[in-house]
Amino acid sequence: MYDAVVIGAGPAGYVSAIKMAHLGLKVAVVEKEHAGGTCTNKGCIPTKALLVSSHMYHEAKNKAKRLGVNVQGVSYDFKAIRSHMQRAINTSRKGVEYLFKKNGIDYVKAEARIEKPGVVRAGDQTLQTRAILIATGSKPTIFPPFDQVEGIWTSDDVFKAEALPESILIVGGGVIGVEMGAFMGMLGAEVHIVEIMDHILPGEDQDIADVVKKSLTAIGVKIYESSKVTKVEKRGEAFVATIETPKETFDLRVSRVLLSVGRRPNIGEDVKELGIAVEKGIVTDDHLRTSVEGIYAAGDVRAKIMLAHVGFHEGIVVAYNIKGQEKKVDLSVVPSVIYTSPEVSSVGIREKDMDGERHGVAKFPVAASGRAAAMGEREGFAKVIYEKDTGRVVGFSMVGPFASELVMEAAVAIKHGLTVEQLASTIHPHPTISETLLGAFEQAEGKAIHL
Amino acid sequence: MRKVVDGKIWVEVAEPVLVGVTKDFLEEIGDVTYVGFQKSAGDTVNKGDVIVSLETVKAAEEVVCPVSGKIVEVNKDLENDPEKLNEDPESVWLVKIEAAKEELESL
Repeated sequence: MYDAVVIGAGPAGYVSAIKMAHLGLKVAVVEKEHAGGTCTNKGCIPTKALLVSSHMYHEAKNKAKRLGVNVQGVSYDFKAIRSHMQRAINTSRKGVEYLFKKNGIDYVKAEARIEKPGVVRAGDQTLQTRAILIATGSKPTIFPPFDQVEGIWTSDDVFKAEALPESILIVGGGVIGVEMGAFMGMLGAEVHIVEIMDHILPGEDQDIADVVKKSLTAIGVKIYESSKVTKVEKRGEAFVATIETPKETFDLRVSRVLLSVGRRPNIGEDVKELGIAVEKGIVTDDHLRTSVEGIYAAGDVRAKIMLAHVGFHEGIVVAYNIKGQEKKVDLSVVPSVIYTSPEVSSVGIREKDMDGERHGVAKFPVAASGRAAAMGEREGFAKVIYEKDTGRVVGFSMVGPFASELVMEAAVAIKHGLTVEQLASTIHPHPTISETLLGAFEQAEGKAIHL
Repeated sequence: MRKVVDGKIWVEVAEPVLVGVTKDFLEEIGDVTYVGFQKSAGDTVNKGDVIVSLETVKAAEEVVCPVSGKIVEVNKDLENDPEKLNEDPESVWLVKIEAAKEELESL
C-alpha cells in the first residue's frame, strides 16, 4: 500500500514524488515514456542545448572578429549539435531517475490507468494507494487545416530532425516559435514566423518584443505580425502555405512547417470515466484536489500556466497536502523566460496591463551598463512597474544579456513587497548587468545616476 | 586475474590488459551519463594519465591509467550508450592496453 502513486514523471510529478519521500511517505511514480517529462525530453532542456550551439556558431561567425578573435572556417555539424542535445537530455533524465533511486521511490515504466480512487493499474501491476496525483502533462496543439496535412511539425519533431530544414514556416510567434526560429535562423535556415496578434511574443510588452524582433530580423528571419496562415498543402517534398498579412495575401513555398500555437493537457480516458471535473484542464481547488476525493492534479494537465517551474511548485503543494500539512497553490508571482538573443524575462504585472492611475513605470537601457559595453552588447533594457504611493515593485520585464538569471531579484521583490527605494539602496556589484535593474529602480525613485 | 586499484579501477591482467571501473566506484559517483575518452587507440600512456572522463548525474570524474603502455582499443560503444556501463561495470571494459609486465605485477 502506497501513500501516493504519481502518474507522470515530468516536473510536477517527479518533484512531488521526491518531496513526498522527504516527508516520509511511500511513493511510486508511473511513467510511460521518459523521466523528466516534456521539460527534459521535448522542451526546456533540449531547446536550450540547441540554442547554446546555434548561439556559439552565430557569435563565432559574427562577433568574434569585433572582439579581436579571428576564427576561420566556422561551420556547424548538425549531427554533433544533436548529440550535444541528447547528452543534455540524458543527463537530466538520468538525474531524475537517480533521485528516485536515492529517495527510495518505486519507478514503474508503464502506462498508468486509474481503476478507481486508490487503485492504479500500471502495465501488469496493480498499485494500491491512499492518494493519486495526476501529472500527465500536455502535448502540442494541432488544429485545422494543419492536422489535415501530413508531415507538419510540432516542437516534438524538431528534436527528432536529422538535418536543418532549408526553409521553414513557423506558425505562432510565441515563446516556442520564437526560440525555434532563433535556433534555425542563426544556423542559416530561411525562417518565416507568422503571428496572429499584433506583435510576436504577445504575452510580453510591445517594446520587449520589438528588441527580439530586431535581433531576429538581423539574422534574416522574416516576421509577419497581425497575420495568419489560411491554407497549407503539400506539394512534392515541399509545403505551400497561403499567408494573409494586413497588406497582402501570398503563397510561400517552404521545406517545413512548424506549428507552435500552444499546448493542450493530456487527459486520459480514465479521468473522464471517473467523472473528474475537466474544463480546459483538470479542475482543482487551491489545494490541487480534483473533484474526486483522494485524487490530485498538478502541472500542465491543469492547463493553467504551462511552465516547468509552475509544475515544480504545484508538485510540492500536492506533497504537503497528501502528507496532511495544508498548503495552497500560489501562482501570483511566476517568472517567465525566453531564451532568445538577447534573452527576455518577466514577472508580475506587464506595462500593458498596469493601472495608469496607481502604477508607474521606469526603464533603464542595457547600453548604459559598463559590463554591456565590455561584452559588446547594446540592445535591451530593464523595466520596473511599481505602485506610485508605496513604491512597491509589482512588475518587471527585461530584454538583454542574462535577463533569464536577473529576473529573480525582481521576483523576490514582488513576492515580498519590497520597494524601489529598498532595492535601489542595495549595493549592486559593478560592472554587472544587474546594474541595469539598479538603474531602473533609481529611475523609479526619481532619477538614475548613470543616465 | 583481476586486480583492483584504489577500490575504483579494475585491471584484468591478460593480453591485452582490460581496464574498467568498479561497481563500488559507480555507486559513489552516481549513474554515468557520458563517457568521454581522452585517449585513442595507438596512443602511448603513462601510469597516472587521464584516459577517460565520466560524467555522472552529480559529478565529473576522471579515470587515470593504472599502468603505462599503449592503448590498443577504446570502448567507443559507450560514447553512444553509457547505460551499458551502469548496468554492468564489472564486466564492461573502458580501454584495452598493452602494458609492461613489471608494472602489472606491482599493482
